[in-house]
Amino acid sequence: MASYYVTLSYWDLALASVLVLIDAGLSLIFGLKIHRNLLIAAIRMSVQLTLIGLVLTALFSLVSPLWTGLAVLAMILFAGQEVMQRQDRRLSGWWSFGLGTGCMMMASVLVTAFALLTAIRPSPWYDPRYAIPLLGMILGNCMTGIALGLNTLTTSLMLRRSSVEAQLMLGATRWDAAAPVTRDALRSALMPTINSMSATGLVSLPGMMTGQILSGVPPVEAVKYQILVMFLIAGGTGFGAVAAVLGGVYRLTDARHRLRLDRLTAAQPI
Amino acid sequence: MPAEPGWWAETVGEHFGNWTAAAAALGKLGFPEEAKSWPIARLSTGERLRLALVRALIVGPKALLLDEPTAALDLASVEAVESLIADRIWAGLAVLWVTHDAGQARRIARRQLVVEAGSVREEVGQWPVTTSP
Repeated sequence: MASYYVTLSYWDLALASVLVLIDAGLSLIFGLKIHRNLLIAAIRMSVQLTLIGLVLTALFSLVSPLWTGLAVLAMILFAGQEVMQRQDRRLSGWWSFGLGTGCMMMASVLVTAFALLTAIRPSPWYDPRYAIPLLGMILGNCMTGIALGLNTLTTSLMLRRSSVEAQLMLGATRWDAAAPVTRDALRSALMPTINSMSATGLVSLPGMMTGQILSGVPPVEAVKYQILVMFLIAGGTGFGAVAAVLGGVYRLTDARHRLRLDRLTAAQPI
Repeated sequence: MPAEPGWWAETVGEHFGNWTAAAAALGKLGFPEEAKSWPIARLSTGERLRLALVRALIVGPKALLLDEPTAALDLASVEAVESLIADRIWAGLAVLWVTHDAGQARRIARRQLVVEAGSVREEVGQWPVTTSP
């Protein structure tokens, strides 16, 4: 299968960046005061992507399990930090970073390894050309799901404290008393994945599929990859969210079936 | 049972696993059979307190901690609640009842603990007189 793609020159990118400059001009005209942030964000994005391009080039040429593993670990740690920052109320101590990061690591590594060992089967199986982009897509969605799930859990437990405590007082176990809140949190976590699967192909063409088509892959093959990735994302987000939300319930209650909201920090300023 | 009990479902009936058993106790506190479908949001504070009390009794506890269970009730309801709890005390239920009503404490308590200026002073109480076994 011959693949063909149009290479871009830096001049092409410079031309496209004029659109961002027009946005900045609109901000000035309408007094939106976002031109500075817009330009900084555009520059950051360009620098970050250029750097990651260089890192990926080095990783792809090395094909080393150690360096691939380290890159994966770095991605997971950054995602963990992001999950923590998206919480209105955080779990106290190491749980705040550890729960989201641990669950993301478990879910995204398991699902990526599953795809690499069954469907894609590159040689070697940890080939960073496949492992890193695949993990990145799964991790990004896991991160959103886990952040939403944990945030819904902690917010709902605060709001519905009296109803949870009423059930505990009447002899319900901590899992039974927190069941409605747990269900809400898991629904929130999985809703973006369900919405994205429903809209894909009708409302949006996913970036990965579009990228493959632009680089010369026949649309039917690109679609197969996209369907595989959507299934992996759904699986990874599901596993990660269930683990994180149940871990959150475990931490916010105790073995004596008491609600332990004292293990949450105060609401973070927005 | 706290002074402001919590609720986890829309209607009264959903808070009771066994409605038949609950209906008998609820009847004694002035609730009709059709209360099962009443929305919680529509109930007055007094009705909620009485419901919460029955909800706590229906699970057959060995001990009951009550925080001002009759604070928002009218006189007839206060008598009904005191009578219901006194029956359970005679049946062996241990009750710790917090009240600001000295008369109620005298009517209900076997042993009175008075909190005064931050310290607990025990007073000799008397056996409840509102009901007999």
